[in-house]
Amino acid sequence: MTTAADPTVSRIPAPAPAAPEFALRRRLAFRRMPISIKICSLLALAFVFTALFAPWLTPHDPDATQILAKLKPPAWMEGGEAAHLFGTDQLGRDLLSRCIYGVRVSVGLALFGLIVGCLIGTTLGVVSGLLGGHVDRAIMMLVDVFISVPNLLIVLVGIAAFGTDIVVLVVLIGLARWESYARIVRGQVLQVREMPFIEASRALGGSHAWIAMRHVLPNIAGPLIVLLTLNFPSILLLESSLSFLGIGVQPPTASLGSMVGDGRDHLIFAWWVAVAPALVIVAITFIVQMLGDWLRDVLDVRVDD
Amino acid sequence: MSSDPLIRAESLTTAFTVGRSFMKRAVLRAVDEVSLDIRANEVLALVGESGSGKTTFGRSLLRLVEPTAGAIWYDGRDITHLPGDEMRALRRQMQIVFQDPFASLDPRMSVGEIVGEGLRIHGMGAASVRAQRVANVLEQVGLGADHARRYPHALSGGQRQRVGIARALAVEPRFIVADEPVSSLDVSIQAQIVQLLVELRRRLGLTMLFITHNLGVVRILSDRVAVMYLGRLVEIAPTATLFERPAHPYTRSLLASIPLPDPKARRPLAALRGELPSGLNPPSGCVFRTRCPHAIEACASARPELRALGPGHQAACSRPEITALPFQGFA
Repeated sequence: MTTAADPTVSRIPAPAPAAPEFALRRRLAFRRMPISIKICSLLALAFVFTALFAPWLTPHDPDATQILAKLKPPAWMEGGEAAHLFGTDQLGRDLLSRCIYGVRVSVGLALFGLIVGCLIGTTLGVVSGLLGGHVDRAIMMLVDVFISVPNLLIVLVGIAAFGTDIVVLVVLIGLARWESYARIVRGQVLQVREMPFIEASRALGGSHAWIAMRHVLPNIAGPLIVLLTLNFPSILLLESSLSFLGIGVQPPTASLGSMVGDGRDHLIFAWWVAVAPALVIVAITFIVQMLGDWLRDVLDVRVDD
Repeated sequence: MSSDPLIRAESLTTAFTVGRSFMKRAVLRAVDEVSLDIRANEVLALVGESGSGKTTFGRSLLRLVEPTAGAIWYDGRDITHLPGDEMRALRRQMQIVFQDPFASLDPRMSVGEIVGEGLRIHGMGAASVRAQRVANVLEQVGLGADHARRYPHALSGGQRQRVGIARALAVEPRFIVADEPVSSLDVSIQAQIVQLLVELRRRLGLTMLFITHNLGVVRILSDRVAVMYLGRLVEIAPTATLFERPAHPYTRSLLASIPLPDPKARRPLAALRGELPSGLNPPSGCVFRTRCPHAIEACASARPELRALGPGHQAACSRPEITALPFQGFA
């Protein structure tokens, strides 16, 4: 506490708070990316492009069997054919085509799951942080319960109860990570809600919903985007594990996980059946993880511009 | 100047529980039974040192902090327990300008969005009408309409505070709490912002609670002055009366601490001794007695009530022989 008011000596002006992420767009500009991130973002774009335009890009129908051409090795190996770049599986289906469709299914499921989890978690996190009190404690207790139960177990129980419908899968995959958003978002909200501009909005007559949408969310968008990118690989792996176990995407639809599962039986004599989709999973996970780490560095470290 | 009160605080008390120890909770009475009226078109200055509860009083008056006891009347209506949605609708009529021009503007919003936020919340006009209003208000506070597209980080402290003022003015409120709007600005900028407030006051006939610890500004801007000490109202008077005949010993020491422009001038030193006592454990009876040069034993027992001393002039000192002393401060 300071002593008596001194009217002539003005207080030293408060130091400017750390520069907000106003120059976001400029810092995320392509030409400012390190070379590895440039490559990763191009590859990520390529994957999205392939997934979107799969029907026009695949050399073969991914589900068409061709028993006479079964277990053909990749094109560059002895006995390989140029028509089947990655070779064929035990039913003679073209592995490249199945990988492309697999990316479509797996990445699609993971993305929708990501959105579901993010929506649930963010909503609960914002409510928890803004309202506080009993609501906050109840939600955080739920989060603790979810953290202590393995994700896979929750999904397994869900599938046992509701079947392997694609909608059920998306919701279950999303539910598996919701608590990470709830926790991070709540923490961010607790920081942001003490800012005077929140009180200013309240003084203007803004409701809780208004403040949450207009002030809180835009100000926590950075950490949220980072969390999304960092969660994506684990969601993709979760979907792959489920399909590998045969309780995810059902045949004949190709998903990267189920393809690895199919190839398991032929691993010794036709390793490519399992390795091709496995490599695609590794590639996607790695690329997104790299992008996530980069985003985290760019958004979290507050650099004056 | 009309004389009906636009806003009235009745024994307004705002207490915070401070979790000091796990055994018992300490209670801080930041605002302790403060009663005052603010008439329409009047500027009432609220002065006191840091920690006197003046900011909390301003926020309580707008129910940005919920008061613990007492009542708030606005325009003849008790708004102390007004339900949330009615209170939100009423907020259009009562606005606040914050002390910190940096943290009180959302860094993610453009100036136009910030100033227009209240208009959007209250559904005041279509987008084009709102944009026009924003441009007008920005001009009123001395910024150009082209500032609307800028973001707060691109503005200086003074410009930001102008934006803060524009935001409060945009919804055409009847009552404004200005919470130390100049104290975090450079001195040269302070004068500009005070000048702006004086001008706005003249043009718009604002009713304002002007919270400050800068007595120089009080003289320029306010009709009446209320002095707070440790959560309590110790004196209230018309500005001229307060500066000529301050009655409460605390007010006198505040006035005596204003430096004189003439370096050769001499006057009795009446600087305050000691520090502001902790609000968690305030002195018994008169809260000022621990620093008061005139304190006697009786001051420790009874809490002094506000006593009328002249037209509109009241002070909370229980010793009439002290409040009647002539003020030597500007001799």
